[in-house]
Amino acid sequence: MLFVPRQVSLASLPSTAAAAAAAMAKEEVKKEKKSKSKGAAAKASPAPDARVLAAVAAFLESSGLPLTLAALRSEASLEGDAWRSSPVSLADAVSKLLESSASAPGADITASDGQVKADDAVAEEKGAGKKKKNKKGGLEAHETESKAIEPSAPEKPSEKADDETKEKKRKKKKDSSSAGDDAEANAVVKTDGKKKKSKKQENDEDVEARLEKVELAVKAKFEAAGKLKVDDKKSGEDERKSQSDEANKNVLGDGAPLDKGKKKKKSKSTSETSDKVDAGTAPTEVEVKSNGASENGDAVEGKDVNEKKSKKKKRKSGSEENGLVEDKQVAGKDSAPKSDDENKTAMDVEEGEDGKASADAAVVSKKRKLEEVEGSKPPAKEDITATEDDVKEPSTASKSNKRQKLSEPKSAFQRVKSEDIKFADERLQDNSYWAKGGADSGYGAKAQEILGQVRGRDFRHEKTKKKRGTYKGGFIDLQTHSIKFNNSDDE
Amino acid sequence: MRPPARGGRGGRGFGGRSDGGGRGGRGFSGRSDGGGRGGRGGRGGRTPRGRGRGGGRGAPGMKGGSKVVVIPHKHDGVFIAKAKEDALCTKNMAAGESVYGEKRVSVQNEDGTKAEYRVWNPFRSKLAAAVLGGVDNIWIAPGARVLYLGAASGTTVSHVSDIVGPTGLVYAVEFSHRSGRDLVNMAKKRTNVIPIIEDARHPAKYRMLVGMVDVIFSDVAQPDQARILALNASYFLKNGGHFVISIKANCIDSIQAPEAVFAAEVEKLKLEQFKPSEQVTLEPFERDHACVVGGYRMPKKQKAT
Repeated sequence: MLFVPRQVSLASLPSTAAAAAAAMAKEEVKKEKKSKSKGAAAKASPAPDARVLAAVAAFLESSGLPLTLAALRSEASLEGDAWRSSPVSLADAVSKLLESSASAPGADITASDGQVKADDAVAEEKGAGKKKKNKKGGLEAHETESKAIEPSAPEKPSEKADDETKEKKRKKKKDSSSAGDDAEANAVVKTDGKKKKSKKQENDEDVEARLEKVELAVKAKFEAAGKLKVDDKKSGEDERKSQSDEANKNVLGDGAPLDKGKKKKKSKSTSETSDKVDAGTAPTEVEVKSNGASENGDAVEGKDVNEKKSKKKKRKSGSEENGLVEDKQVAGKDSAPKSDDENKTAMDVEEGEDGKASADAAVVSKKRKLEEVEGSKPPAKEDITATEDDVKEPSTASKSNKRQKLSEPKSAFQRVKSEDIKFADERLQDNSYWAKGGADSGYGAKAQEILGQVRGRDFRHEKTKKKRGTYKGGFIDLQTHSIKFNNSDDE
Repeated sequence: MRPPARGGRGGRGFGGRSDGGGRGGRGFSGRSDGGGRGGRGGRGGRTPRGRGRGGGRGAPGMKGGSKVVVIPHKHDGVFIAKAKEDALCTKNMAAGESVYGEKRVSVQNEDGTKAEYRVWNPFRSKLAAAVLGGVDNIWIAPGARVLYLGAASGTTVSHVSDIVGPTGLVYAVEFSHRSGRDLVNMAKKRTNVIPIIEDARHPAKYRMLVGMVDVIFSDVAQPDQARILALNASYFLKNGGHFVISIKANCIDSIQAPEAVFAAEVEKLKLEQFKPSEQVTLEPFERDHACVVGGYRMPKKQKAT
């Protein structure tokens, strides 16, 4: 119960708390380093610690700890708010975690079992979060990191103090398995500290756990992406191996802190981190494997059939990792086949256009006919088609060329072949009005003077006026002006 | 594909025309007929009809404003109304009725009987254009039975009906229901017109309605109009019958020169047992049109003679 006012005071004095936290952080880091250096020697300790802790926990529960826990949680919520406001970027944290995890040595998972049992899983999570933070700090700037984690800072001193006491006690316990009243008192104090810590940690963990989860997730993704990126270029089996290896590494790296962990924190954190990493990596591994499998398939297929690959890639692109990998692959291997696909699609489009083009060709051909008949400007439209063909792929170009070759000699669809025409009478070669007999004085002379001047819409306009019945053509002769066909040849 | 339907002819807008027909006709009658029933009051249109009829009292005068003399054309059933200007006309079979707003001329014969003639506008009718163009023989005469393909709204059909008279018969085939409506309305007043709303490409569909005919007039303006004509001729045209076909060059080949198209069509007709006898241009009443007249399965005896 003594700790409560102290923490309250610390919380009320953030500046001093921050300074103290910085100092404590340094100490803690040193301790961690020391504990790391101790390594294997500390392995023996956790088992007895578990027993002691179990006893202590039972004692504390009997002595009304829940009240203190409630108070601590209320404080922890305040600290959690402060923590949320702290400017620690996830990216930095993740990168640091990656580095630390990569560099972390092997660890014993078994060492953490006792403490894990003794402490709450939540407490473990918190410890894991702090541990990671400490790792980061240890790797780069301890002070800044610890300062950045202000909410945890006030706890840290207590924790560290507790840890120190714990360590001492553990050593004492180790030394003398049957400890006297002092030992019990120490144990009580210790456990008090622990439990307070743990409960604070629990409260903090609500925040930290989230962050950790996010970090783990991001980390897993990064790792998976990295692996995939690296491995996709290799064979798929390598990917799986590397993934499994990496998973092991993750486990080992997470387990590394366990070696440090005579201290509960570290042990908790290690176990928890290991658990979390396992939990985090497990799904990621699954994902990675699935991705790897698919990508392996892609790799094989891609080597075999690049086109299919590109299509599949497009389909797969749903997942980020795959998207990245695919992009790289597409950029690297598939650039050529992809272009082929584009070509094919282009060809398809062109083929689709060819349907239109055929229809258009008819129109164009008509125009060509007109032009040919008129004897001027045939090349213009051909140029247009030629340019279109140039744009098209060679195969389609060949098709279009064939089409052109087919169309050009025919020049257009015509029901009446000009070469087949033979006129029975030369007068039939001119259908105009003036060529007809008696045209000058004919009934239609006046109309011809008007309608002969206009074409198209104007002709219709003029003719519509004539239709109204106001036309007066003068004299109507009864002469025959038609052109007779000579039917004598029939006989 | 209502091909045979209106063909190249001015079927469009005809409905409006027919609607205004009555009024226009009345107005005109004032002109030609002088005091004619419609009289001047009718021309005003605005003036109450009763008064126009009141003017009818002057109608019997018949002298009218201008002197109109109607003389027969060389083709039977066709007349020329000679006034200040000549006008082609046919004797109106349904007196007092104007089909499409054409003007009417009524004259009194020497025996005192009154006859009404309808002016035949060559810009509306290719047959009139052919007549004015100087065709030698249209073979459509009083008492003839005519199969008319591409009747459209019935403007020309009404004149053909006038020509053939009560003893003749006109089968008017039109595929378009819209213009066929006007055709049917016109046929209601002319007993010698049988409207057939069918596709002229399938003469079997109306073979039960049409008997043997003397002349086929075709104005379908379709690329295969020669075939359509031959098909109908094989069904309905008597041996030694005649055909009159209006050829629109643009409908067959819009690029080729019209003269070449006409020549090609004539050749096609020759292959279908037709014997084209003459060709006349429809200029200036129609553009790039020609009218070909000929016989069908002509007996050689006639030729020899």
